[in-house]
Amino acid sequence: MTTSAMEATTEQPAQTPTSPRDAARRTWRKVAGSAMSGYGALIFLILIAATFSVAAPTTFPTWDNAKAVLADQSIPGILALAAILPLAAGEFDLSLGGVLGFSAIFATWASNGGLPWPLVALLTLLLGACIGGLNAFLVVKVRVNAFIATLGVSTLLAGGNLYLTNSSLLTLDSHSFAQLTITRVGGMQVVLAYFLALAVVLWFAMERTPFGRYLRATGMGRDAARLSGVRTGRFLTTAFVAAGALAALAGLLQASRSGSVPPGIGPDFLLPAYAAAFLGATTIKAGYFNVWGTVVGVFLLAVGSNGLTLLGAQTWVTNLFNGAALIVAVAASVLLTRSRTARAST
Amino acid sequence: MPADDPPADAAHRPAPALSLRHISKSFAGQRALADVSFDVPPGEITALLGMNGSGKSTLIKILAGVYEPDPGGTLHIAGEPVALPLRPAQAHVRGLRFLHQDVGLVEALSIADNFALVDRFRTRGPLRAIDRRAQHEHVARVLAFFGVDRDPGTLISALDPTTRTMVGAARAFQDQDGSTEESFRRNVLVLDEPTASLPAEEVDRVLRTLERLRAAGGTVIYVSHRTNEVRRIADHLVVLRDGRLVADQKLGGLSSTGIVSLIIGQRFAQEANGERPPSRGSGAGDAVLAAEDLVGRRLTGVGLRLAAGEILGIAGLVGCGRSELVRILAGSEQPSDGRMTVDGLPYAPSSPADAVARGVSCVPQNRHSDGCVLPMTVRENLSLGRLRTFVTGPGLLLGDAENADAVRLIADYSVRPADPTRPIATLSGGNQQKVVVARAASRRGRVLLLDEPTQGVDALAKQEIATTIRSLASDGTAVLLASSDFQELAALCDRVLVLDRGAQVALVEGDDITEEKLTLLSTRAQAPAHLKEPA
Repeated sequence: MTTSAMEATTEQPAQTPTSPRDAARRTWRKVAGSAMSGYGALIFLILIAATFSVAAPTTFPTWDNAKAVLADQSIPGILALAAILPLAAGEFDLSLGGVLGFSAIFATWASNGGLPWPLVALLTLLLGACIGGLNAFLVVKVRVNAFIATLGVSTLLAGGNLYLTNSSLLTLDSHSFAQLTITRVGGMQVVLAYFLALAVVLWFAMERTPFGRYLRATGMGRDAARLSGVRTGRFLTTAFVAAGALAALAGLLQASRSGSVPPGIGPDFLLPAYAAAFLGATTIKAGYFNVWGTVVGVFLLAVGSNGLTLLGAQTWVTNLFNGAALIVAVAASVLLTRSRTARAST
Repeated sequence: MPADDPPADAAHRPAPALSLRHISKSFAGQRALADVSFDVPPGEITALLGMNGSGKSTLIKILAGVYEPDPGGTLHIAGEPVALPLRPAQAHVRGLRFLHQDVGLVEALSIADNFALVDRFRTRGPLRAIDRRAQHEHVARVLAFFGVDRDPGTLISALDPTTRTMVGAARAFQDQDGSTEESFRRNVLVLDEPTASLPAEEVDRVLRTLERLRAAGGTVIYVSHRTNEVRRIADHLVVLRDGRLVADQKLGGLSSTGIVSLIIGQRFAQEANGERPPSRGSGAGDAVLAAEDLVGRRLTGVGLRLAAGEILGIAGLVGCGRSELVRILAGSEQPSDGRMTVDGLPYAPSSPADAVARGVSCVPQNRHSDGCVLPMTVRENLSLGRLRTFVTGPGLLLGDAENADAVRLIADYSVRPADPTRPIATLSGGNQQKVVVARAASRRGRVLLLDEPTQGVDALAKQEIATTIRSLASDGTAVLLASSDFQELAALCDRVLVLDRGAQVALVEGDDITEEKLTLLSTRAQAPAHLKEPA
């Protein structure tokens, strides 16, 4: 009797009709809450861009700087897109940095050898796909843990790089090959167009086709997917092969754009790509590795380090920012998933 | 019924090892245990019996401190009142020891390390380094009593299943002071179907150990489906049916059949019979799915024929090869020998996708890991593996077509709530299972395989799934239903194949399919040869 009366009184305020202002405040809170969970990274990107615009008004918010950031991030962006394919299927591919480096060196070496650029491009992409195929073979057929298998392949490629370059800087001699990235589209470097076109294609494949759905099912419930008749091995294989080819594309463009390749190229690209992918999983389509979230992730990291550099920060500050961003992104992603499953199970 | 008061201790008689009064437990309005009271006599072996869902496991979990009983019950351990709910650590301190069905040993560790995991590592010196010798001495002493002649350093993975069971029992019974003989008198060992997955000739070893334990003054609560084992070793019987206590008595000279009818109850046997639809096929028609001499990890030459419109049951205890048979037919596991055909043509699926392509779909046993993709929505789970149906020219997924299909299936299979966009993890177990059944059935294949489709599902959903199975069969689907719920098999099946340790022991047809008969057939052969009743 007393307890039910007390419950009634405590519940009363929540049930009484509230003033429009309260209602508006609640709606705002709800919108803000869902924006923070769904668009947190995007909002953060806008906030730091605004902050740098105030802090470095002459250098940061300029058209030239924006063009430079967009162009510089296109190749790491392509690698990040490559990374989300195996990630969506529930596996890590740590060889992607290695594939980028190896294909950059291979493409330079082949161009210098006199091959026409379309053939170089084709061979490089094929090479990347084959390395992806090797990863898939080890993971799907032999059932080596993907983390270990791709780490091993990555190390093999690093060795190959040193062999091919004789451990010294390789310079590109072919002008036609360089042409692949020199062209401009609407005043922007063409690599940005490559990156965005690829993002659209990948978005369509992952969100609007059975392939994308099955890839995700393979990552989220592999046994259930397999037992319901999904050929999960085939989807995993496709993910590795496509990721290998995309990483090779990134390597090809990198070689063409920079004009020279250091023998140790590759591994440095891996971590930012994963940071962007995990940041992307916290935004746009929160809780899932997704294309537009990854694009936001790439630029969030890029704007951070670009702004810090323009403010005169030393390299270690940039590293600090990238490391912290990765940790925060992954932690946020984990917390988000956990709160969703907790809500789901009640 | 025992007296309502806690055990009034006549000076010469020891207090009951356990004394339960008015223990009830409800889950979301469903009564799992209703006002159960009984005593467990000290120094004896008490068999706790009942069908699946009778409340045995609920009772054990209350004793282990996993479940909180409804208010109103009391528990005395060795005459002393204990506050309910019990906490797991408290249950342990008060001398309750549990050996669960899966034994729970870490395979990659040694026997001694497994002992230490539940107790403690014996250490020495200021750095508290592990004292390997003290550890091994302690473990060897306990092992010796349980008749395990193995070095404490042996890895669990090197042990056969029977020895693992014994090690599990020994581990449950190790005592912190090391004087095991004394601990036997203080402790109560609760074994949940310890022999379920052991070969018959090995069961004897386990039973003899329990007898030694009793001789040393130990108290045992023994859960088993095997009436012959119960007749051999139990002193006392406690039988639950539908969450109620139906028997609490000395074993006396009760026969196996007597025990089984206590477990099942006449009313149920009749109900199960009354529900039986008129027999449809008898397997005499053309077989849609046929298998011969299937050999696998457990199976030792099993064959079957399944005709269109027929429901064939597969009965047997845990570990009889029931699930392996389903997995082989569904293509998720490959037999080491044997032949299969679908519509008379050779059938050797190397993956579930192959099986689906031949018209064989499956509802796997473990709904959570194998049935649903939990992070996905109901709609995504319904269309899993069938997305091609909703695709236009260049591989574009038609969201509207997929949604319409999901809405239709949700209505047809009474999935609640009727919202295709809900994460499937938010549905009740019964409704999740309806989604899995709907997906498998919506392929309109020739054969539907179901492995424990109603396990852990509430009564209403169970009924709805049964109705679905019947109507699929009358539409001409060949249905194979593997289940440990013999009542369900009796109510649904035209024929039932009984398996025992990988071999088929009987094929029961038509009106002969009763729960009692299936229980007898799947348990009788389990006893060691010399224990078999003279029929």
